Amino acid sequence: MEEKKVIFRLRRYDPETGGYREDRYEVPVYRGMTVLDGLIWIKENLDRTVSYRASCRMGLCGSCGMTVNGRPTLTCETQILSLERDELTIEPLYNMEPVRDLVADFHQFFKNQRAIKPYLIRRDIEEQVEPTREYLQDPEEWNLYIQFAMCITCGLCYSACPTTATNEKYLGPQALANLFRFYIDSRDEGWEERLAIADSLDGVWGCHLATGCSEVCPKGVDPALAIQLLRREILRKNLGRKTRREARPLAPLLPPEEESPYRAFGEAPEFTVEGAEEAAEKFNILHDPRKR
Amino acid sequence: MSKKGRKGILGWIIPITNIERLLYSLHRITGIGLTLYLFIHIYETSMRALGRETWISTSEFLDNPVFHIGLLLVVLAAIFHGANGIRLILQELGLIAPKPTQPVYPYRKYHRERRVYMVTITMLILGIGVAIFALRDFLILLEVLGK
Ligand code: HEM
Ligand code: SF4
Ligand code: FES
Repeated sequence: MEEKKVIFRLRRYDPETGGYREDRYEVPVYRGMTVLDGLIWIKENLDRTVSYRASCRMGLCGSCGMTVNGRPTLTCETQILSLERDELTIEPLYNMEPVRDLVADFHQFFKNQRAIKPYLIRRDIEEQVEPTREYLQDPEEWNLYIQFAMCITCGLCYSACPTTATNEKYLGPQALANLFRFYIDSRDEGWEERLAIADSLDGVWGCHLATGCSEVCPKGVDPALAIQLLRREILRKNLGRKTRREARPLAPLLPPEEESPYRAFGEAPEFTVEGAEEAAEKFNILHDPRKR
Repeated sequence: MSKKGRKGILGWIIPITNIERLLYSLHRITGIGLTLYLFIHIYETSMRALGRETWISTSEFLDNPVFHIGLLLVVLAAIFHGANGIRLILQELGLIAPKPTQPVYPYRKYHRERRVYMVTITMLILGIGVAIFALRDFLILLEVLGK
């Protein structure tokens, strides 16, 4: 197979000096090789000190976002040859604090994600925790939110956004798209508090429709669309018009002689790893709406 | 925590990932430019209040190619800002937003078609605006040359 050499110029952040420095590496490139493969090759063959973050290498975990030639890019899903360049400049994602080399800190990003309450809110919490009946949802209702549920929290949209560049309190495209995902879900009943979170200068009104978010999203999420739709709902609400309809009622109760399918799963197996029980307890507290 | 990562005002211009991102930057630049012009314009016309002599000397001072080109830029900026502003109002309030759809691999662009149409329409309005403006100037030029 014919080999091509591509120069990787890594703009590396050094936490000790607080500055950046640029290192150049020559990488032999084969067809199908991704930018992430290139970084792995550098680490294995040229310089073990190079730091970057990645995990799944298949566009699922959202860890490997970096700025490649000035564009927020999911490096494991981007083939080097498809960029048609002899030189690649790779930097950490913009608008997040750099940690080291190409690694960016997602602290604020995930804080925003938590702030929009990324879970189903139900009025009947007992029923939600110990369900006796099923949720119903038809494909049409599913279609309204599935686009926004594709998000892998890679942060590319956040990094492409001009509002996040100057306003660190801005919730950002990812969190707002996720907010809409729950808002429009036919099972969710938290629409009032969701709209209240969105209706702010650090919420949907911070957006100026630059749509860089939708452009760089590797999953087709289109956060700009979610923000537009949220604004329309807020506008409607303020004009006294109808907004989201009520949540769909649950499926009818099963006849008493039949067991609920949820109870038929049985108990979980015992813990085998040390500390797992406490971790599970913490997790349960985090995910039990009665304890929030 | 240090603020190394946020791009600050530079982030209003980079990264340019798509045409709307560029229009965003231009809208902001023209908006600020027009506001600046408004103040300069108020200052300039207020010279009239200081009497005939001052007004004439102000007019003479302003009558040179630099200010003429400046004025041309202001008009172009106004055409752009107005046309793009109407697009932004329609889109930002979700008045013409399409229904969400299920993304299909490889998740590229297809779902943003409506926005691309809107950009095209804005560009057309913009083009017509500039054309009318240019035509008028062209006619004036012909008249001047004819004399
Ligand atoms: C046809 C007339 C106009 C329309 C339709 C219009 C529309 C708009 C819209 C929709 C925005 C918000 C853009 C965004 O969300 O980012 C905006 C921003 C702005 N406009 Fe205008 N505008 C007009 C005339 C003017 C004039 C005459 C001035 C100056 C005197 C001006 C100065 C500004 C400024 C400074 C901003 C803020 C820029 C920004 O936030 O990016 N506009 N305009
Ligand atoms: S919306 Fe898209 S770009 Fe933004 S975090 Fe989710 S997957 Fe990444
Ligand atoms: S490494 Fe998991 S998305 Fe790229």
